[in-house]
Amino acid sequence: MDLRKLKKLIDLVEESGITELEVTEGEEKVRIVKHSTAAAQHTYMVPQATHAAMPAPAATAATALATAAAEPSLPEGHVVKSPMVGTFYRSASPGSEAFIEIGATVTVGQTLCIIEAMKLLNEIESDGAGIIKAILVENGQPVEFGEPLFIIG
Amino acid sequence: MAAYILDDVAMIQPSNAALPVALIDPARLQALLGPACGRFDVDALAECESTSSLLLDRASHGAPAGSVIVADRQSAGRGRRGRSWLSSPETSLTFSLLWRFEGGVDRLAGLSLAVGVALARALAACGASSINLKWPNDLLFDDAKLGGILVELQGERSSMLAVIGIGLNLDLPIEEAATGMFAQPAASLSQTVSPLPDRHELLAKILIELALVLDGFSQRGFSALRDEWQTRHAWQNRPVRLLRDGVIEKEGICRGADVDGALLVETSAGLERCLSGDLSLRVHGQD
Repeated sequence: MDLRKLKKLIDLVEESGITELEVTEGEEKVRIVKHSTAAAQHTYMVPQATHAAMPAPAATAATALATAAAEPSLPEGHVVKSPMVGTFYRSASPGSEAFIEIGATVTVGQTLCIIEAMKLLNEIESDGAGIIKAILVENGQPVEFGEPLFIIG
Repeated sequence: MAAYILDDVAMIQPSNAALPVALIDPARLQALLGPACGRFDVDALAECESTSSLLLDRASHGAPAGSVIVADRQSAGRGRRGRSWLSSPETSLTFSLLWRFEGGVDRLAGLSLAVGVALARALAACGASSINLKWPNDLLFDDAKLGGILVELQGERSSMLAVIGIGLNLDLPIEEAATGMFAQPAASLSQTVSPLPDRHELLAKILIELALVLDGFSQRGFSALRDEWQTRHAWQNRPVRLLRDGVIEKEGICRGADVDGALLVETSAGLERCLSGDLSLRVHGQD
């Protein structure tokens, strides 16, 4: 299970009234426990995360997380990678239709997504042709340079 | 000044507010471009859905760098992530500029901030010296938004195509400002410059500054403009919060822009760099 999925689960727990959530997915199991229900402070503690992104441990509503992650297997094919650091968007604007869905046939040059950084909206075009086998990032999530975004088979 | 004539027309004949007198005259504009004369190909439209969408479409049919579309009315002007941007000739100046940059997207970091510097310079040259910049590229007067910029990029064979959309509030309808129809506090140029500069002169000054700044940016990137951006930064050393989809991602003291344009926020974890999100002032007493 990747960090983005974990973050989404943490958000779900934080936004809801529940104090504990356990999710089992194949061989992976994640349990998220909320220690305090004090005024929602959207801060997280993710033990696996590295350095800078981590908030101070003093936060009152911190959410502790334990996971035993194993990379799920991905379909084979051409991997479209992010050319920049930014935020991944699957549609031109929040209400509009996604550029592509899993199973769609794409051609070279077709727009697959938008990556935004510092208000530069970069349309990412497909550098391969075929069928979209996997979309590896969720809408609105940050992506790194070179991060796999799509698999085209 | 033409702006006054316009106001008079609007007041005397409100039903004829869209009279052609409001249109930008490309020939008159070219005469005002001075050193940048001939570098811009300006098309003025009475109305269009979105100058940026139209320009992207024209770019795909070979429109050259320096193409500009200015519209007196936009019915579907876009802000970042689909936020709408209204415009009418009496109250705003909205246009889009097409530009091309050699190399890949990695060379364009900080482009939106660079455009902000060009706009602030042009407005200062028109007498509005107290316009500041908010990361990444809003123009503020007294902490209220006076203008916005949206840059859309497309990769080409060995270069990047950029369509730079710009919207400036010239004069806000009082009733709209008062009824709070704007998503955030809005300001207009009329609050800081009186009388308002003529639309042709204003657009010409902006294009002249954009040519200078974009030429420099092509050569040296944002780093050469960073000090100037910092001096025009509205929220330097003020408490801010960065939101992503409405969720607070970071809180701290705003330290401005890094050499590549990334936002610097000093949080409890130290000085952090941020590339995306919506920045707002953290008002005293807020959670």
